[in-house]
Amino acid sequence: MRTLKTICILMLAIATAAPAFGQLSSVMGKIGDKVQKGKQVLDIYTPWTPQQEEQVGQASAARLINVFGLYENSQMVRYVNLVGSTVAQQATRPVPYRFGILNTEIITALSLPGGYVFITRGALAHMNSEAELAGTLAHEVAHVDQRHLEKEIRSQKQMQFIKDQTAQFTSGQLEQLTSNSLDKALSQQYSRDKEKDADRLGVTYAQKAGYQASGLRLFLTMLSEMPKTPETQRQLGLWGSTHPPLPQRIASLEAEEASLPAGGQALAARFSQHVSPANFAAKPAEVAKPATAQK
Amino acid sequence: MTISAAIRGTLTRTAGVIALTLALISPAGITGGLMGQQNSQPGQQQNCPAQGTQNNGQQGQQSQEGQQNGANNGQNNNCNQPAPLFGGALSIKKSNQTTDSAALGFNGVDPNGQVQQAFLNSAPSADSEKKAEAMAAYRPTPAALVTFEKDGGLTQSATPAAAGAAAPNGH
Repeated sequence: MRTLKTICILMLAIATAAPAFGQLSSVMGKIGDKVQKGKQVLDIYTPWTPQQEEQVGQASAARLINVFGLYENSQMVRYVNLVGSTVAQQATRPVPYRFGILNTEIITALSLPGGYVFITRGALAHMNSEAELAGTLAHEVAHVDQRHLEKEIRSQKQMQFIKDQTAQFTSGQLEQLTSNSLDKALSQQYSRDKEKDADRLGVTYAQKAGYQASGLRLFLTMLSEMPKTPETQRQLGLWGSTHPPLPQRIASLEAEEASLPAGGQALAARFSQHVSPANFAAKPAEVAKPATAQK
Repeated sequence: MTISAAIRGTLTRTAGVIALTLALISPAGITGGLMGQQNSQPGQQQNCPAQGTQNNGQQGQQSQEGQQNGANNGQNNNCNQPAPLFGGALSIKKSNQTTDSAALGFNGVDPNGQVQQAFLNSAPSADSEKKAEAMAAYRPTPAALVTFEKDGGLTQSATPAAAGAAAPNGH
């Protein structure tokens, strides 16, 4: 009789506790979700380490070089690196910037994490001064300095597997990050804010480095005045799909320049001396490895 | 044994009929049909004289043409030969040009100036990886940078913001 009573009490207790347990597990589940979301937010806002930046940048650069090839004229590569490094000194983060010339007639410039900045042979052939080159490279340096590409990638849902504690990305992660970096850099626009930010900072870097602040604007103006032919459509297609419309940027740059001190160097003669369109025509490439020139 | 012999006899007769049929239709039938399929593939030439025209239309792939011309010339000289079945896909490996003369064109972009995904998705060659490494290692020396700035009259207004930005291999 006593045993029966105990069993009854136990059953009653279990019956009463079951809903409570259910509620508890539901609450625990919700807490787990919140923690997971918190982790994801942390991942989005935790910047990559220099090693991770370098890893993604170099792997993406290799793929980019695989598509376009590098223009291996050691004198011109050195010149572009000197101009780029001059403006990069004005950036806020100590990133090891390196500048390459992509061997294609399309007109564009782009940057990858880790300080890999590229300008195309086509873009160089359409520039008239060192200030224009400096302004264009400074815009790309600003993208790297502000981690624009990295931020866009980190904000993507599928990229949230990446943990900041990882010293180096695994090969699978790197593959995914490389694809995303190139997809972003070559087929999508940064947000309008990021582009405006890069234009503003780029002009400032170029001006502080001693160049005319109008360099980038003059180059964009020249691009906007190019005749609309299938040839130019092909040359500017990538630029158009990855940057805001030229008239908007030109107007915005003009306003930015007005707030900066006048003066600075254009260095058109030095530019012509190093970058002549004639150099691009049917001249055998110099095979000297840039790495052997200066380290 | 009797059933087995009957089956064997039937198989032999069937094989004989198939062989005879093949011998009769192969010159103009089966082979001709396959060649017709090859010629009608997109991106391949319908007839030999049209090849030049098609290449002219592909202005953007001038760089690829440099390497492809050899193969195309071979086809021109031998118009009766069927075009290679998978010839169209070979261009993926040919977007990467390193010499000026071979790459006076738009590597890897379509007529709208967009990068072709096929090129973008292809794994980099060992050569491309080496070039990326070489690019990573290359940086002007601080002394060369100072000289460059001085020569261009840039140093007076230049005020480095990030010390070590141009330091070799420094993060």
